Amino acid sequence: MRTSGNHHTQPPRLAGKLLEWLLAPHLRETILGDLHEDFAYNVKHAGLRKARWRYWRQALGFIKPGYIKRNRTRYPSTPFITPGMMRNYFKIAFRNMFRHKLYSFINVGGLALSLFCSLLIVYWVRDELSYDKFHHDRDRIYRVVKDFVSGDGNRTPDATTPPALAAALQKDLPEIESVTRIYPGWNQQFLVKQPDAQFYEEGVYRVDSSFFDVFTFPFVAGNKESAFRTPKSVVLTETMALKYFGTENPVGKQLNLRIDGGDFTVTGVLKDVPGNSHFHFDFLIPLRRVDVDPDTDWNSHTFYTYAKLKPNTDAAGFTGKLRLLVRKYQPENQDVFYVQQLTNIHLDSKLKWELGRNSDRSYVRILSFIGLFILIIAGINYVNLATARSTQRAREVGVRKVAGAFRRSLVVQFLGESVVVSVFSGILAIGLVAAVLPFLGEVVGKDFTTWNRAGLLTCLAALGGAMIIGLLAGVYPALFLSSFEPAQVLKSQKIPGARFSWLRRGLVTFQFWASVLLMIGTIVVSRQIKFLKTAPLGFDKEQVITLPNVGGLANLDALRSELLGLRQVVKAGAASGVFGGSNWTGGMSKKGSDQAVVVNFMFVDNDFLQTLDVRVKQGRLFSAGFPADSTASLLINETAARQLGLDQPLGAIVDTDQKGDYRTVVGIVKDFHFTSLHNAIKPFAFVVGRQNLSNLFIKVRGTDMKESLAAIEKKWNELVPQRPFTYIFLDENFAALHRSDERFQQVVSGLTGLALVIAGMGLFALASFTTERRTKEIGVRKVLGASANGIVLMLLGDFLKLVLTAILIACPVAWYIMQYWLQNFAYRIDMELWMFALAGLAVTFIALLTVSFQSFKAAWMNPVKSLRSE
Amino acid sequence: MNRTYLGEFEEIVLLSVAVMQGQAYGVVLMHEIVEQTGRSVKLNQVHSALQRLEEKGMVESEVGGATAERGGRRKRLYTVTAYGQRTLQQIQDVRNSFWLKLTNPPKPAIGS
Repeated sequence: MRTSGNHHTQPPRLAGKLLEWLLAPHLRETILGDLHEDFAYNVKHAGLRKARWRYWRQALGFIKPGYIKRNRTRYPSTPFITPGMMRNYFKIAFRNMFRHKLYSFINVGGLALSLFCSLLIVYWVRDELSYDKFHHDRDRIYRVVKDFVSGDGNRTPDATTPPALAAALQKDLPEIESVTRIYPGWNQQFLVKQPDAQFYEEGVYRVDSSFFDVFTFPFVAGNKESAFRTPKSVVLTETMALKYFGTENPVGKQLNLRIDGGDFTVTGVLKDVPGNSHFHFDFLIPLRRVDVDPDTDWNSHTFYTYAKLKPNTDAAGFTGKLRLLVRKYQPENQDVFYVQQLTNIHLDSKLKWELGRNSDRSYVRILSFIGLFILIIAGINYVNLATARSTQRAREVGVRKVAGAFRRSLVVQFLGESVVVSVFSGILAIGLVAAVLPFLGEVVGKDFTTWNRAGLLTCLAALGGAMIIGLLAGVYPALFLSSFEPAQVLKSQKIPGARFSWLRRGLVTFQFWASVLLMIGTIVVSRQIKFLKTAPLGFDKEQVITLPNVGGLANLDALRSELLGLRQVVKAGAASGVFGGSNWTGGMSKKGSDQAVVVNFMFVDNDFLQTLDVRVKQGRLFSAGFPADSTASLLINETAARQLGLDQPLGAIVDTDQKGDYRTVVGIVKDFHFTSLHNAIKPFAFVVGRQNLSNLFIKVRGTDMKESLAAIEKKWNELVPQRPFTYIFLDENFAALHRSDERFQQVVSGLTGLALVIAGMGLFALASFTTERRTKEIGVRKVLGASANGIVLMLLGDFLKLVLTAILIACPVAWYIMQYWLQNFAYRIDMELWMFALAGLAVTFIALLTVSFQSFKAAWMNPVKSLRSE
Repeated sequence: MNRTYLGEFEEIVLLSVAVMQGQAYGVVLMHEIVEQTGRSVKLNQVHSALQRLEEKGMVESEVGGATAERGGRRKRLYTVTAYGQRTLQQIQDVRNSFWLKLTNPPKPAIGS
């Protein structure tokens, strides 16, 4: 034992440590002893400063191979992992787990819960990142897109391209390996007829035969060479084959698609399109249009162009060539063409007219962070509880050390314990995930599978991750516990570092920081989603039933008047598109100006605007009283009036198709949201047109929607027996636009709740341990006259300080992150002070609730009891 | 004459071990040598000399008592073995015979 108490007469600690670490064990003691003695001599004879300097000089003299080389033969070393000791470690670990049930429950439960959440997030993130990666040569596949540039220089990023582009690319650019066009259904409903069944189908794509060269969609029957040999070929997915042909081989059979005159021959069956593809189809038919030759059509922007480039082609260089190519064929065209990497489309592309709803990289980022936070919170629980519990393990450490345990073997023991706990939690979590995943997949609209190779690999990775967490969380407690001096811990009550150390303070503060961050996030997200749901759209979407398949119906007027005869029906109007679904777009300009503006528009009948209660700001709506409306009138919204540069909008004349279809503006309607609130309101126009009306909107009264639907269906079946009755609710259609946002909100709130529960659990246990340790102190304080309230305040104060610090740090970070998220929305809420205050209060409340239970228990305890027990 | 070679410093260390009579260990040997020879000696030199001597079998060591000024660490005490004694004796004999010749030359020295 060191008895020279004064710290200053000790030799330099660093040099001592260095030698202790370097010197061979059999020389260490004598050398260090000699150095020490020399030092003591020098202190006496030459003074402290010189002595320290000499110590260093002498010490450095020993850094030589002869003193460092370990002497292997002299003392045989004991292996510190032996089966017997391992068995003992396990036994003690399990006994400890069972003895301290609350503690074990919080450790295992919290860790399992957090691993479960993170594993779910991993599944989701992995799925998001895997989009379109199933194609061969995916790195060489690009989508050609453009910024539509209007006359006034406004750019609208747009995913569509004219069909002639693909032909030109194939012909002129040697970098192209293959290129294909896709002409999707554009929300058109195709009535597919079989003798015994008819269904409406939307997933009909027209594609070039090179589609199968660019993309990888494996054939189950047929092959890509014979797929599109004749223009009347159709390739189906497996599901569709089963739906229309049952289990028999469909190849060679006829399928009536009612496009271009009827019967198509099935030439192939594809495996179903994977869920992680950014486009989905059920039927592929050759791209062929009767009216125009696609290879020379530079005007219809209804096609998508995908190109596979030759290996080692530079995408930037290709873009340059692409632009030159467009200039060559279309000198007038101002649009700016560029390419997108196929695998980035799902997460990064937010263009107009995407083939499907894309996700957003910010979701992936935010959720990954939340997952990480939850893991860290659970890990912190482990560290905190393990160190706080050190009192209970200190004796064990002491006894083990006295019995000859090395520090290293103790470290192995405690690390092993935490790994056992974490792996156990990991197994629990994986079991839970396997049980929940199928249901969850349905909720978030993805097909998750645990039992395939990737799923199992994820589970394995999770187990590995659990182990790493166990190691990380176990390092500090292991080092801390194994550092106890046996004489001290066995003799006295005093356990070094069992007080509320700075490390634990930091960790608890971090937990609260993360909790507050998540809480603020949840509040902001929820408010924004609520705003999305309740924001006035500028038209009435409630109680509107939409019949989407009235296009080309000869007796549409008869149907409408019959429906209007029903007592449930208030109004009915037809239009070419659906708000929140599809509409047409085109360039329009003020008469006499060549500044074209992209305007969304719809063909409507005279009753449509009244049916949806679109409000007039100036002028009037269409009406049967003005016969000119059907050929020469136009309604525009406020934004369109502004962007078209109409100073006097009423009566202004607008060129609606850039080819001389002049129409007079007879009314301005108030701005309304015709698409999701992610996007700013764009110019919109209404034109009367009879031939394009494909959706009938029926406003019904009363609460009994079922009855209304039944009545409408009855009339439909009487008047339109040749078509099946289908309907959509307009409000649901609109809600679908924000479904992914809503899901995000649910996921974030759920995860936040879990994170709070885990952090709360940890805090509860920590508080109970620290309070337990202070039982005597509290007893003494009470005997000396402290009030119960004072003691509660004292105990709470410790934690409150941490919570307040956490809130202060979390607020700016939360503000920054949520600002980033809100950028996704053109229409968004402002972050207000109360959101931060509420989150702070809520977290403080939770902290107080968990801690005060323990504090009150301790404060009300009779001091006689706490002081008598020894 | 068939004995192990002993370096000059080794010889001094061996001598001082012999002088100390069982109380010799690293740091006191160093101080002793410094005092007797007046040259600056480092502890690591003493230790490596002791190690070599022990390997050659001239000294043997045992672990001795700890003191406070050693920070509670034990010392390694060295004693000279019989072989060491004999070696020292032989060195001394060789030197003596040279000295004898030097002080009682058989012929007068040239040029003195």
